[in-house]
Order: sequence, then C-alpha cells, then structure tokens
Amino acid sequence: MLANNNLKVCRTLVKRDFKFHHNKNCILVAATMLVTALYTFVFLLGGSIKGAFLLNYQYTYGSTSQILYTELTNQQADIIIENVNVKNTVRLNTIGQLTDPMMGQRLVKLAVTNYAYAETVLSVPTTGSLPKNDNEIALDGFTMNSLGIPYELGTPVTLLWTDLEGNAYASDFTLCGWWTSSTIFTEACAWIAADTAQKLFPSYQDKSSHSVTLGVNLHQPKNLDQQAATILEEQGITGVNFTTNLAYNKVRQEQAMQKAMPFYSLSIVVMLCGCLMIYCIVHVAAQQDTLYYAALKSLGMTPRQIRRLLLEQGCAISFLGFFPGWVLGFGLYFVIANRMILGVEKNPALYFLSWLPFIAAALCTLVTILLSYLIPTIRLSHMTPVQTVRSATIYLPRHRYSSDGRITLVNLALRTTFGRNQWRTIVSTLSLLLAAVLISSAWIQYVSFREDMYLSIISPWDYSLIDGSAYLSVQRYNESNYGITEKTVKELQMRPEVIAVSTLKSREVELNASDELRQRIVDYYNQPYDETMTRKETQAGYPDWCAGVERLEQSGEYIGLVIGVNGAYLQYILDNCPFTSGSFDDKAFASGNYVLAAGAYSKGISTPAEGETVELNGCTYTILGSVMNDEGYISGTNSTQAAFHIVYILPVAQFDLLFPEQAYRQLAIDIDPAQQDTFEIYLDYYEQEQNQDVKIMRRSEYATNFDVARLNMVLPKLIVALVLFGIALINFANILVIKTISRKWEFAIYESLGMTNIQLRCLILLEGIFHAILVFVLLVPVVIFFSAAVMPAVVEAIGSWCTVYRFSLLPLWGVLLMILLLAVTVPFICLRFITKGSLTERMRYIE
Amino acid sequence: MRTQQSRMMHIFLTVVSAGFMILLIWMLWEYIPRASVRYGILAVCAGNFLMAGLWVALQRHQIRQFADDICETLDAATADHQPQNFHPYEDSLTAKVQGKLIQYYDILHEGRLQSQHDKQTLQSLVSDISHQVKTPIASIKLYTGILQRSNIPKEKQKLFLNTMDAQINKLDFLMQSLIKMSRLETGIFSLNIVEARLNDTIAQAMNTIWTKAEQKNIELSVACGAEIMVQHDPKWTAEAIGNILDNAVKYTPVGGCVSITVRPWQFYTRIDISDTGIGIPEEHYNDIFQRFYRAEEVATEEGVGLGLYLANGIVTRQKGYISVKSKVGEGTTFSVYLLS
Amino acid sequence: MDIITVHHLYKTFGKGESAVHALNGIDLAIEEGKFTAIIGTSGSGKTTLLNMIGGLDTPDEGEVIVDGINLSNLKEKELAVFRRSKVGFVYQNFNLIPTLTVKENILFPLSLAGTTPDQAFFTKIIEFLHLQDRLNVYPQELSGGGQQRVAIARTLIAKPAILLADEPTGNLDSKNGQNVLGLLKLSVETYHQTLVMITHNLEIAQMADRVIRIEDGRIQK
Repeated sequence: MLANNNLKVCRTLVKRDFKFHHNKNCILVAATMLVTALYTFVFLLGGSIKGAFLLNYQYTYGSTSQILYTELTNQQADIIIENVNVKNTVRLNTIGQLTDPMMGQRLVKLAVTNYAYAETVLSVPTTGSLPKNDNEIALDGFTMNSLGIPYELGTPVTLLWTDLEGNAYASDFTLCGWWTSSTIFTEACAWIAADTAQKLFPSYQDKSSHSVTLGVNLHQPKNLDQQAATILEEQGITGVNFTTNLAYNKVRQEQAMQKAMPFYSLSIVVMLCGCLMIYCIVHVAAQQDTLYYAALKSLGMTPRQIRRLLLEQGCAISFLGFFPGWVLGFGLYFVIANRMILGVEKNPALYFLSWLPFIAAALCTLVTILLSYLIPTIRLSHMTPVQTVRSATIYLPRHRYSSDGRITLVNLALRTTFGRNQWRTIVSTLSLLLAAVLISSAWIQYVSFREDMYLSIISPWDYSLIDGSAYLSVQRYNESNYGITEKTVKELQMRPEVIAVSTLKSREVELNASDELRQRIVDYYNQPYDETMTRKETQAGYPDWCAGVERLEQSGEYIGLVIGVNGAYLQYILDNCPFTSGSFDDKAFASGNYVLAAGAYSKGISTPAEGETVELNGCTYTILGSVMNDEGYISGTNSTQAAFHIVYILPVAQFDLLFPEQAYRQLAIDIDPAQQDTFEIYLDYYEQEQNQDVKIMRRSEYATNFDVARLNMVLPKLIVALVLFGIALINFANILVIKTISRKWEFAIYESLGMTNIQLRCLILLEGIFHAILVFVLLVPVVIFFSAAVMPAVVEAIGSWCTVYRFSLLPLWGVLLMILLLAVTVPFICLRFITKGSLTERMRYIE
Repeated sequence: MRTQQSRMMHIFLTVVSAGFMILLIWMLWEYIPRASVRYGILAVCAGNFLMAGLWVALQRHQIRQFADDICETLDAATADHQPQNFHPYEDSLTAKVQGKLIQYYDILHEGRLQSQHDKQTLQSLVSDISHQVKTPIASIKLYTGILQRSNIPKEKQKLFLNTMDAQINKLDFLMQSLIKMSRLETGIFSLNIVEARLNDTIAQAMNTIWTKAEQKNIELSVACGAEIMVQHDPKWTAEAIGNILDNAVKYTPVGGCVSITVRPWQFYTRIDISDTGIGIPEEHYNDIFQRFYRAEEVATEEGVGLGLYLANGIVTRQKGYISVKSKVGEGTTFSVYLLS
Repeated sequence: MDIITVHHLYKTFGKGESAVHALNGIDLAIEEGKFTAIIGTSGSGKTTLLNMIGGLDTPDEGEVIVDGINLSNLKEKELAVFRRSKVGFVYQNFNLIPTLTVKENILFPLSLAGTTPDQAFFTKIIEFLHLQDRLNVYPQELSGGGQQRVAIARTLIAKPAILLADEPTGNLDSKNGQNVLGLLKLSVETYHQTLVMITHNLEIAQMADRVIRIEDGRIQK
C-alpha cells in the first residue's frame, strides 16, 4: 500500500508551534543543550581517561610506535616498509652513541635529524630547534645535566662518542636546542644534521651497516608480537630484534577500558535523568497539549501524522540544542581534563580530542528526546478524541462532605497542590531526587577521604630526598649515580631542625635458586588467584615479570634486590610487611648475619623461608624471616631483568660492607614541626644548589597531591550531578510557572469576588510552601536512607585504604534550600505578570 | 519531453552505478591483498545491489498495484456499479484517488439523471400545454364554425362571442402564466430584494382578490404590524402572496374566512395565510406546488394550476420557503417565511 | 435511503456514584439528503449522540452504521480518515487551531487528506461568509461569530456527505445566523448532503424536515 503523501501539514504545524510558543521551546532547547553537554562531557572524558592510560603505557615503552625494529640495514628497513600490513613508519638512522663516562648507564644515540621519529619518542626540542646546519646538535635535559652543559643556545659542546664499528671520537658541536621529557631515563637521542652525520660517519648509509631503527604502525594493531614476527617472515628477514608497545597489550587495553568505565556508566545516569526531565518539560502543559491533540484527531489527523508531528518536533528541538550543547560540553571537558589528566606533554584536552564522542553524544541526545516525545503516542494512538479529552481532564477526588462549606486560604492552597497534576509533580520530584542522590554520593565520597590516613601511610616521614634517577615511578634507578652524597647526609644530620635521618641503599645481584626454592616459587605462582586464573596469569600484563619467572623456572637464575635500610625505613618495613615465616629479632638482625627475604604481597611463602641461607656477593646469610613485601617506601623502578625479583633486606651498615661504593638511593628526614619554616628555606637553597640529580619530596606536596587527586576523583560525578540538578531545577521552576500562569483566569475570578492583594499573595505563598513540603517529604527520607545505608557500601567498593565513611547531609540541606527558595519566589514573580491588565480582560476565558 | 528526460535520467544513473562498480573493483584489486577478502567484499556489494534491486522491484509492484486499482475503479464506474476494491477509510494514495474518481463519477451520474429528468419534464410540459390548449381552441373552433353559418339569431351570436372571448382570455392567461413559469425556470427575471414594509406588499396582494372574496362573501382579515420590514421584492412577493390568497379564496366555500397573520422571528418573518376551505390531504402536500396540479374538487373553477408553483418559486428565490398545514374539511394554513 | 442507522446505543461516563448514563438505548435512522434537527434539554445526551455518529467516540453497547459501514469495525486511523472525508463537524467551541491562519484553518481537512482545494468553491464559501479580508489573520483575533464562521467554512470545504452541527448559531447575531443557516441549507440541497443539527432554537427546528427530541438519553416520541 502506498502511503498517502499528507505529511506536509505536520511540518507546517511544527514551524508554527515554534513561532508561537517561544518560551516553552526556549526552555526545551536549553534542557536539550544541557543534556547534550553532559553526554559530550562524559564521553570525551571517558575517552581521554582511556587515552591517557594508554599513552602512559606508551611513555613507559618509550615510543608511540607499535613495533620497534632495531639494528636494521637500510635495505631491510625498505623491505619491511613494503609489507601490506604496515600503515606508516618512522625511521631513525644512528651513527653511534655517546660514551661520556659521566652519563652512567644511559644510552644516548647520536642520530640523524628526523622530525617524524622525534615526535614518536617525544624528543622534539622545546627550546631551539632540530639541527639544520653543520655541527649543530640538540640534546635532552638529562644528558645536559649529566654532562654539565649550560642551558644556552649556541654553546659549544665537545662530546665523546663511539660509532657503530666501535671507534671512539671526540667531536665539537654547537647546541641548537634541548627538551626535557619524562620518558624512560635510560635511552635518548642526540640529534645532528645529515651533513654532519655524513662527515662524521660516511658509511652509515651503506647497505651493510645496521644503523636503522624502524618504528612501525600497523593497520590493525592486534596481536602485535605475532604480527611483528609474521612481517619479518613474510619479508624474508631474519635475525632482527623487535619490541612491541605495551599500550597495545590486550590486558593493558582492558585495564584502560576499566578505568574509563565509571565515566561511561555515568552516561546511563544522564540518559535516565535526561529522559525524565525532557519528558517533564515537554508534558508540563500536558492538559493543554492533550486537548490540542484531541482537537487534531477530531479533525481527522491519523495516528501516523501525529507521530510524525511529534517526531519532527523532537528532531527540531534536538538539532537546535546540539551545537550549543557540544560547545558547553567541550568547555566543561576542557576545564576538567586539564585538572584530571596529568603527565601529558601537550594540553590533554586537545590531545585526546576526537569526533566520535560528539557524534555519540548527538545520537544519545536524539534518542533521549525522541523517547520522551514518542512514548506518550503509544497510548494516544488508540484513543478516540473524546477519550483523549476525558483522559486529560482533572482527576476529581472523591466527594467531600465539608462541615459548613466555608473555605480558608490554607484549604484552598492544599486543594491546589495536592489536587491537580500529581503525576507531574511526582515525576519532577523524582528527577530532583536523582540529582540530590548523585550530589550526596559525590560529596560523601569526597569527605570520606581521610587526608591524615593517607599521609600517615604514603609519607610516614616529613621529607625524603631521592636520587634523581629514581624520582618517578617510571624511572629506572641508576645504581652508579652519586646524587646524594655523604656530605649531604652529614649536613642534614647536623641541622638543628632535623630529628632523624634514615638511609636506604639498593643493589641488584644475580642469584641462583636452589631446586627446592625454584619449585616452591613455581608452585606458588601456579596457585589459583581466583576461579578464573592462577597468580601467574594475573600478571599477564607485565611481560617482563613473566619473562623473569620463566627464566627462574628454566634455569634457576633470578635477580635479587639487596636493600640496606635503617631507622624509619626499617620501622616502615616492620609495620607494613607481615611475616610469612619467622619473626623479627632486633639483635639478630643488627648482628649482620641475618637478612629478611621479601616476596609477593599475598599469603604463602614465595621466597626463601626462615632458616634457609642465601649467598650475597660471596657472603652467606641466614634468613631471619620472610615477609610480604610492601614496596611503597621505595621510589623508582628496577631494571627490566629485575622485573621479577626477590628482596633481601639488610641493615645499612652490613650493606656498606657488601657494596662499599654504592651511593644512597633515598633519605627519609623527620623534623621538629615548629622549625619547619627554617628547614624549608634550607631545603630550597639546597635544591637550587644541586642540579637535577636529587629530588626532594615534601609532605606538604603529598598533601596537595592528595587534595588534587581527591577532588579529581569526584569532580566528574559532581559536575554531572550539578548539571542534572540544574536541569531538575529548571523543570521544577517550569512546573511552578505553568501552574501559576495557567490559572490566570482563576485568580482573576478570585479578585473579582473580592480577594484582596494580600490574601492573594498569602495564597501563593502557601501554595509554594506546600509544594516545597511535598517535594521535601519525598526527598528527605530517600536521601537520608541512601546516605546512611547505601553509601557505606559504595565507599567500601572504592577500595581505597584511606577512606573512612563519613555521614554528611550538607548537600541535602543545600538542595532543600534551593527548592524552598524557588518554590516561594517563582510564583511571586509570576503573580506580578498575571495580575497585570484589567480584571475584565483577564476574566475573558480564552481557550 | 518527459519521456526523454526520464530516459536521460535512467542512462545517467546506470552509467554512474557502473562507474562506481568499476571503481570499487579497481580499489579492491589495487589495495586488498587477500583474495578471499576481495571476493567477500564483492559478494557483499553484489548483495547490496540485489537488495536495492529488490527494493526498486517492490516499489514498482506497489505502483503497478496502484494503477491496477485505479483502472478497476474506472471500469466499475463505466459499468455503472460500485468498485469492489475500494476501502474508503484507508489513508493511502489509492484511496485518495479512488475517492476523487468516485466523486467525479457521482457528479456525472447526477448530471445524466438530471438531464433525463429535464427531458421528461419537457415532454410532460409539452403534453400539458397541448392538453390545456386543446380545449379552448376546440371550443373556439366550434363556435367559429357555428358563427360562420349565417342563420344564427343575434342573441345567440352575442352569447357565442362572449364565450369565445372568455376562452381567448383563458388562453391569454395561460400564455402569461407559461411565460412567467419559463422565466422562472430559466432565471431570466431578476428579483430586486430590498428592505421594504411588509404591510404594503400584503395590501397590494389583497387588492387583487378583494372583489372575488366579496363575491363569495368570504371574510378577509389582516394582522400585520405596520413597522415590520422584510427583505423582499415587493412586486413579485405581492404576486406570490396574491396567488396563495387566490387559492385560499377559490377553495373556501361561501361564508368562510381567510386571515393573514404576520409573526416576526429572529431569522425569518412568518406570514400565515389561513382559510376555512376544503383542506388538502397530507399525501398531496408536495403535489400542490407542482406544475398544473389541480385538486379534483375544483375542476369547475378557473385556474391553470400554476399559482402555487410560481409562488413557491418566487419565495424560494428570495431565500425563504413555504410550508403548508391542513386539515381536510376544516381549513388550510400556508406559512410563507421571508428573511427578516 | 437511510445513510445513518443507530442500533441500541448505550454510553455511560464515570463510575459508581458519579456515573452518568448519557445514552440509554437509542435507535435511530436518518435519511439521506434531509435536514434533521435534534432538540432536548441540556444533559440529555444530544452531544454524545452526535459524537457517536461522527466517529469521535465509541459506544459501550450498540452500533452505528454510516453509509453501510459499521463504525465499531474501524480502527482509530480509519476513523480519522472517516472524520475528515465523510463527516463535517461544527463544534460548539469552534475547535480552531490557534497556530494556523484563517485560510489554513479552513483548508485544514484537505491538507490532512493531502488533496488540493477547489479554488472556485473556496472563494464562493469565503464570500458567502464575509471572510475575504480576514484570510491571513489568526483565529484569536476574531470575534466569536467570526470564529464560528471560519469553523463552518472548514466544515463545508471538503464537501462531506454528512454535516453534523452542534449549536452552530449559538454565538451568532441574527444576520450572520441567517447566512449560516442559508448556507447550510443551500449546501444540503445543492450537494445532496445530510444535515443533522443540535439546536435550542425552535425556529430552526421548524425548518427541519424532521425533528428528533431526546430526553435522558432516550428518544421521545
């Protein structure tokens, strides 16, 4: 059947509706805008959080490329590029590496300028530029620190370097730019121009020189390891090493998604609330609308045409609200993302921007709006016009038998509030309730974070000095770095403010496990973690750790991390590392024949147990006891081979005997709080004096970090809840306005029958108060119940060790205050409008 | 012109689709390495085309269905019966067009019936006229024949001449009435509707029948407010009322009474003309307004049978109407409604 | 020929104590082409009966057959088409769409049906009802009488087979009322339509070919 082409009239009606009902449509568009803004905000934020996590992994890896092939010849590189699966590549030509002894363990490649590659390893100079002219060189901050090169463009630099064939040179360059990056500390590039490279090492472009590092991006980054190997096979290249980017590891990706999940799940809340609120606003003048539709039906409008009418109205409102909503949502996101996402070089808000969240937000808004418009049509379609009219008329309460027929103002106000349109009031109250609950939830989460608990655990001491190579958790501690000197330690110990200075040193050693130990460890990690996987499998996201365990399994070799501690550090270990075998003996430990072995932080012994022996650097020690290792007190990470390691804890004195040359890794300083200011001045001076080799962590920094982190955690939820509350308030105000304005005629009648202005004002005030009371009655018990009964579980579920549930009703009072304010002022404002004009004019009852 | 344009459109679409197909095949062969993926994509595209083709076929089927339905409707209309496939309350293009076709058919049908009716009316009119004319003419011919004979006494001649005169008057009256009627039918005469005093019109009408009423000793009474104004054409309305009064007097026996009452209402003014005559049976209420209708009882009286017909026509032209109420043997009331 | 037949119609509004029996068993047959007037006191069920005939409501019991089709067999969408094509309803409260101009209001049933209007007929109706210079005005700007005239024009424009009028001259002065009645009668005669009118005015009832009196939801003989 060919449907009749009679839908043009619907378009006309919609256009006229927009022309006539300005106010209602403005409110609707405003609400749509807010809903779109919320969706955009939520989706953008979720996407950014996920992107930030993955970027973090990339940083750890050192490059944003998916696969890195190292030590290729130019020819091999060319062949690999031709593989069909390869999307794009970046190429690095190295001619050698810097070998200045001051650089310690760091590997700095002397490479030909390549902007594309520089971008992927975040080595683009922030001051100055990449070298263009002969003899120019760009270096990174750490290298410059190590070599003591001043931060001035144009400084002449002499560098010692070795080329690929092993010849050592000393060459002169001019500094033309530098950058500081927080990528892995051990590898970097030093850029020189192609001409310079040609001059210094002419044969780097030969076929046989393995000077190329190729960073490859694939079209479909799944199973990177497999694909990388397959590519080599397909292109017929052997003997080439590659590494794959951790960010594309499946488990890591899942973890990143999980982190972003709470934000995406907010969108469901937004959808629910948005639907409810738009529905309320659209149908707030439900009676008039229903009468209007009944009139249309009686004139012969088929249900199909009415559906089309509502659909077009919904679409028009949506499209009008999209663009402002996008802008507002992006604005919110811009402000919040900068606070929440740290550690990204460029502006995180712009870096993670993509078009997908905008489109998703638009679609979700459209669905929300259309749902709230079209759901009533289901009922409307089947009713005849008279039935429709009857359904819109006021529900009449049962007949009352009043004593003497007289009415007071209170009575009148009560009848109004509770007699009409209860359904609408309840729905709007529901939306207020939802918003109030969300705000309460966010607030309680916020106040439940205990700063003192956090600080007492995270920073058990007032200040810590950390070796510059172990400051960040992604930095690998450089054992040969002499940041913290003996002199510093003595100076600190002598200062009047300082109460105690504790020291920590560490060293990695190669050890061999006995068969028994090997078996024990293997068994330990093969135990099930939960129903789905073993302990070993839970670490699938850490391939280096897995590699370490495998090495232990196969050959019995493993890396042991020997740590020397005293004072506060030892106390920390004793406080926070439960013993899995044996117990602590003060004297025995101090005697220097005993060590503590520390392993995995869960039940069972994953290390040598009490009584067994271990040989460290030729000396044999007995295990005093094994503990579960809480590594919170150690800053920085270890080498990749030591990803799986067992910790052996000694007193510092003993450590010095074993490894006399080892420098301090960290110091913990406790001071007299009264003299904090003077100590801070000293610290600032000390910090200025030093180059970047020693980092200082102050407790106050932790406190600020905590505040910031705490705020950032609840901020998105709070923003969403506040905007939803805003929409709910608009809705509430709208209902109040419509309630008053639609009774213009009724008030005129009252006035004509002799009601004075004061009585009228009293009536309005009473109505407002009763309305507010109705809302309170529905709101207060639920919110209190929620805060008291549900929130503790939620706070538990956060799973943070520094949260203690705290009951707070502050947001509830705020919400109630706002509602009361609106309920009283809005009708008064409307009253001014509706009492304008002469009485007879107002009494003319125009439909 | 239209067919040329659509043909151009078809060719253009075919060429563009072929172009896209070729482009797709080239892109697949250039950039997709694996054969299975290539063929898969091609298969999917072929599937898409197939679906599009089915869609177009479905549309064509619907359009064919539509055309068939319309043709069936037209056939039914030509064969003069209701079409079977008509669903009047379906909201589809078919129902819309069918509805309009059926409306058009109804109008034509009505027209045909009307013209048949008119032919019949004309025939009956002609026969009526010939019938009416026959009698006077025969009479005149008779008397002329008689008068042509020479030996007729003078008194008898005078008598015959008077009779002939009367018959000719009757013919003349008949012709006048026929002319008026035909003018009424064809709408030539124009009514000059003004707001005029009703009293004067009624008075004028009364004048025409005054003598006749006197002769039959019938009492005439008028109850009409002097200030009542009515929308009418005074001349023609007077004639119409005169006709009705004439009938009233004609059909009332000696000593009866005829009264005129005027009642002004909101929309219409009602003029009641009541008599105490022989009355009209209910089944003839409609007939009395027809042409040349005469009740059996008064075959002897003068009259053609056009009086009420003319009156009805005049009053209807003035957007009023006449209704009648009567009791056999007691009397009749004619109610003339004119716009106030 | 009976164009409208009503059998055993019952309709009750409300429940329990406040139940109102609007129609208590109505049997009625209305002839085609005639003017039928319905009179009765207020609350006697006249409007309900008219709503049933016009397809605006469904009865609790009984059936309404219009032009051979039983209205209870029609779905709402078919009833909607019925309302705009077969029936022209003149409402007591005009029922004009406030967001459309007078001209658009008059042509509304045709727009709903997707057909184009007959310009000559439209002009004729407009002139008869003296609405020529009000075509681009919105209904709220007209007086009650003007709005009623617009409503009547809307009813007539689609030339429906049945005209249903609920007190059409209630708000009009005598001159306009005459015009309206004259127009309705003329329309009925010219297009052979059936007119069913609810009225309090005995004059108008007198004009009708048949008068039906309803009391307490039943027809009085």
